[in-house]
Amino acid sequence: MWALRHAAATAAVPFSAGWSEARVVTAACAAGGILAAGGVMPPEAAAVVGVAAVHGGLLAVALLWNGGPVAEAGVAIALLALARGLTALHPAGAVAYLAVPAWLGHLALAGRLLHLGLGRPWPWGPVGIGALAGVALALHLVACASRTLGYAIGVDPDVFLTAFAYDLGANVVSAELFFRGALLHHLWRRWSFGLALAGASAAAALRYCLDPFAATTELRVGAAVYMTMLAILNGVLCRWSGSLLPGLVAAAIFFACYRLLARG
Amino acid sequence: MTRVSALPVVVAALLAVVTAGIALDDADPASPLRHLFVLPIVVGALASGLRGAVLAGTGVVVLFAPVVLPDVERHGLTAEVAEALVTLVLLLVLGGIVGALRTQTRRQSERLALLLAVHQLLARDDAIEVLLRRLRALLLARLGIRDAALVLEDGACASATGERAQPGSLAAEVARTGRPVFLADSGERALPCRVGAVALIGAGGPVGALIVEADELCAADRADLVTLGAYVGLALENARLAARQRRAAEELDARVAEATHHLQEIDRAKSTFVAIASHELRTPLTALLGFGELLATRQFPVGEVHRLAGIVHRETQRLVRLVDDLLDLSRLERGAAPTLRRTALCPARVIEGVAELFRHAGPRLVVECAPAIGDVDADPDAVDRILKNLVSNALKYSPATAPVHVIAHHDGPRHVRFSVEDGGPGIEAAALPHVFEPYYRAPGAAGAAPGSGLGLAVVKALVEAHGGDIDVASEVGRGTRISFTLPRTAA
Repeated sequence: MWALRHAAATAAVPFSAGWSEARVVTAACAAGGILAAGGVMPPEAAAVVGVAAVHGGLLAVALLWNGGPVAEAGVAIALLALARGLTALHPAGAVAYLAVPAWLGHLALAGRLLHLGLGRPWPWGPVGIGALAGVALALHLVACASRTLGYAIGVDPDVFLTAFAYDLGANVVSAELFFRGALLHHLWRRWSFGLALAGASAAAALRYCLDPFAATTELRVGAAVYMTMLAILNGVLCRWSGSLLPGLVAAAIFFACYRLLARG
Repeated sequence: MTRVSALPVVVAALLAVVTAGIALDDADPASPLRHLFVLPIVVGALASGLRGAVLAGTGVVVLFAPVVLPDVERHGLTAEVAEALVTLVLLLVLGGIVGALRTQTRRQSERLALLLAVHQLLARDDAIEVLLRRLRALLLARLGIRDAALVLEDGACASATGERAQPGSLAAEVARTGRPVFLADSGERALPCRVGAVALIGAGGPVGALIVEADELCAADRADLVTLGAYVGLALENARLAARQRRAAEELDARVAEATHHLQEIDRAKSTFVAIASHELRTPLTALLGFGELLATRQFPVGEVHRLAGIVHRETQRLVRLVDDLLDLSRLERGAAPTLRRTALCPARVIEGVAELFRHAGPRLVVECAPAIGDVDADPDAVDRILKNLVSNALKYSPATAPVHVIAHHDGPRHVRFSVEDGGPGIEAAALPHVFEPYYRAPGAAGAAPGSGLGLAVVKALVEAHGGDIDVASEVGRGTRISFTLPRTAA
């Protein structure tokens, strides 16, 4: 037992522990994001830089913050930039986004993402519960969107697959690893779980509210409501199961349903 | 087998039924059926406290949103919608209050139940280490924590792996200072792990520490732990005092029983002694009386008179010896040491004198005296009595043909050791520690030869009065050796 061997002072871990490299990556990605949003680059280049800076930045910081090597953070950014570039060349290039979860899966199987809540043994029971929760939240979204905003299910399969590949490879993975895997755990180590969950969920919702693709007010409100609910749900799943996998599954299902919606 | 709670199913069913009713009522947000949402909220709150109320309330908000939001979208915030929202808010507040009260009540009853269980556990008559282990198991079961350890200031400890608190560790510090310490995370595990260390407070200050590791330790949990530490400390201290009292009472009982047994033994031995002494006194007295009467009433030749007078003399000496032993023993029992008139004695002469006395034993009596042994500082009469007693016993309890050795030799620079060895039946090991006790006669000795049971007790007292020591070694069937030391005269 820890308290029988260690003095109290050795338990204090600063919030910024592991930030020496993450600080540099954060600054670089923030600069990249500002450049991409500032219109100083051609649109396609700005899209590549934006994806690499935002999603790659979240993923890289999550990896570095928990003690991962710089090379892995670099690979994350490079894979996302490559996928966005290939998507610009051809919509089917979006399949390249799946390289990111594949690569993370490889790291998880090798036991190198345990500190982020990914690794054996896989909690298949909570994964099932996560899938059910994702379906429930998605059904709620569909019901509300169809009753209020006039959306309906029905979309071009190619468009859906491209968007879903992006969600799966960039959006969901980066958000879960950063907001639940890194931020929630770091806050949780200092505050009660309720406070930590509130902080991490607010940060996640804010990230979607600030997303330039959420152009309208109704999209921003929707993003705030559903991303908050998804963040709380995934945080609870993470605490219950000790793994990020149930939350990843729930988020993937939710975004899949979201991508099925089209203005009727 | 895992027991599945029916509560979430009941709450979900109530939510579904009420939502379906509202949906069938044209999905009107002002539908009176909305008031029925009170059912899942209150059921959740009563069954699971604040957590149940929050979950049920979240369900209500999620399910009611598709009913209210389209109306807001189409007509804005009308009076009907506002009324529906107010109803919703009131229901949530009600659920929150009921849930909080239920949580508080449950916590209170759990706390009382835990204290009662701790009290019952510590009232058991077990060793302190066993109590600590059981107490740890109880806390793990009742508090819903990951791990716990109990550390006492005397080093006793109950932990999962049996490890003890290291000096300077959090546990040792809290046990020393008595100040509780709560840490948000130990940093040792993949998931955050709260650490709480509270002192076990006895009547005179901290007596140890209770350490817990848990997923969460809210303010109420921390306050409960501090209270629990104080309670467990007092209870442990009481348990230790009770155990100490029990041990003292048991020891006292054992001592009383031992003393009673000893007194009974002495009483029995004295009774035996009275019988033996009566017999031992009567024998020479009978001889004296008989031979005295013969000498007084009849005429005998001179030679016969001398023989009878010799018998009278021996029997008188026997009587005197017995009376001397009785007087010595009486003095010993009063705590008075024998009076000695010490002088320089030659061990060889002393032994030869005794051998002369027992010359009737013939070649059985073998005397060995180391050369240049030097003189001993002793009372001649006392040494004479010691040796006569031992040699007399050796001859008395040995077969008629078995030799008896009387030996004197050096025992270090300051003592001379005398030994008397016989080839008799020996003494059982169980009887050896008692042979120097007054009135004691080894099993079988009483039937083998006459005796009072006083001789060896007097011998021991005389040896010790000289500053020497005496011991006995015996092997059944092989014989017995009794040896004692006397101090040499100063050079």
